[in-house]
Amino acid sequence: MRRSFTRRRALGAAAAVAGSGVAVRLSHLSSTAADAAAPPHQHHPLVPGSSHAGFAHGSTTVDPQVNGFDPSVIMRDFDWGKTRRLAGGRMLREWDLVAYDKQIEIVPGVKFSAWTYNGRVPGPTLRAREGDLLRIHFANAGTHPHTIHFHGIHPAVMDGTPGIGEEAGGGLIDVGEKFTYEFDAQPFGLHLYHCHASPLAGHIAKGLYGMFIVDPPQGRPHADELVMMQNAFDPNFNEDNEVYAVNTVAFHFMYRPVRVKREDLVRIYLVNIVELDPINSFHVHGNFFHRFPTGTSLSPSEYTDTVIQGQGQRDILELRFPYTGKYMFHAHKSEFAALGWMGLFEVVE
Amino acid sequence: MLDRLLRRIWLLGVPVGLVGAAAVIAYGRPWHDAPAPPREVSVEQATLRPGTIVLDVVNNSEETARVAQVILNDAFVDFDQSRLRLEPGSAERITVSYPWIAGEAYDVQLMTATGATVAYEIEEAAAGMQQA
Repeated sequence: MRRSFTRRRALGAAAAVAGSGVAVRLSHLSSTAADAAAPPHQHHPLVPGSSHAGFAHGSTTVDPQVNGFDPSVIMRDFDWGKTRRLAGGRMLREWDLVAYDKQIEIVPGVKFSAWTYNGRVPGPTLRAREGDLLRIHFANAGTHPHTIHFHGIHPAVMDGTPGIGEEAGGGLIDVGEKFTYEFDAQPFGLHLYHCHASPLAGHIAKGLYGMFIVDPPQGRPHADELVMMQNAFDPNFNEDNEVYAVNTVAFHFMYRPVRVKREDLVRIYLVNIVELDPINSFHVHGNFFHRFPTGTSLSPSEYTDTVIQGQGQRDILELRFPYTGKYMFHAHKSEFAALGWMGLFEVVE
Repeated sequence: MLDRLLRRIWLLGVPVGLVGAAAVIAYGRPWHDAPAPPREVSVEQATLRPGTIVLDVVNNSEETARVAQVILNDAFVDFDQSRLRLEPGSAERITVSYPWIAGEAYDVQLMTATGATVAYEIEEAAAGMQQA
């Protein structure tokens, strides 16, 4: 987050706006006015001395009921679609994705007007095997034209880019319109999908993105698999992010640690979808991991404990924890960590 | 004796009054018609004590606001607050636990429930009160 005292946003019709740092003194205010108010509300982190975050009402994370989705559930939620064997044995996978607007809570007490696929941020993690035929039935129930642009190899008409494929009903999908994207699942690896409507940064930053995983034909070794979508939000619209996370809710995994078993193979699907910042990073404490860039090779390229990603970059990470206990994971860009991008593994027997 | 003193005071008052009238004319409005304060939420003053920054916040807007989070130098920080709902015209005290260092600058952003932020800058930290 870049510091700025010049670009501010009005609080709707309210005048509760960002000031310039040169606030006006009011003669009627005194410390007694504040002292006479309600009893103090304390905002403390679960981790003593961590100074990670302040939280409203004593809560430490966002109630999943509020958002209608839970970052912990998203972490292990893989949507293989509705399947049907085609003549010749090929697998057809189909999904319904609906874009619509939704208010979500991104850090306790702070709401953000998001645009979502299927009411969640990130959208469903679509998963297939290389060579499957995929059909994604998209309906735009939002308030702006949208698309779904998939990373992968496919014909231009299926690319979800405004102005391309419109003769076939593709391109920009207007409010109330539908389109079915159809293509082969290729190549195997960890990919993503996102809206490609203009302004691109805005449509992505509002929440229109998700993971698209294509498994190799023979699959990967059995593992405890985790989805980590690195994302961020700019709730005051000053073109700088103020809130960072994996799977949307800042600090969520500090208070809901990711529980894994000692010596189990853990596979992390890591994608960076953060807008407005050029890079992001992932670091794990007390361990090292094998890195498979884009997941397109079955041989790791690196054995490390920190990985840097640009926008849209992704890696599959594999590791085993030899010791029990709690281990942090977080952006090694400390500012992002302190603004919400941090969590804990809890390794148990 | 007393009469002479009163007369001198009265005579002294004439030029003072003339100067005042000239000032009113020059600035185009009388002193009690000063510009209204911005209709916004703002930090009125900060008081620094070891390990603590106390912020007195006023809501001079027409809408109820709520400070949901405090960001200090690009980090969410722990804090206590004297009230959750900040009604129009009301004030609250926010106490931030933070190991500030004398002489350094601090950028405070109060994040409201809508995500809007209220900025305040401590230009050079020192124990005591700093007014905006």
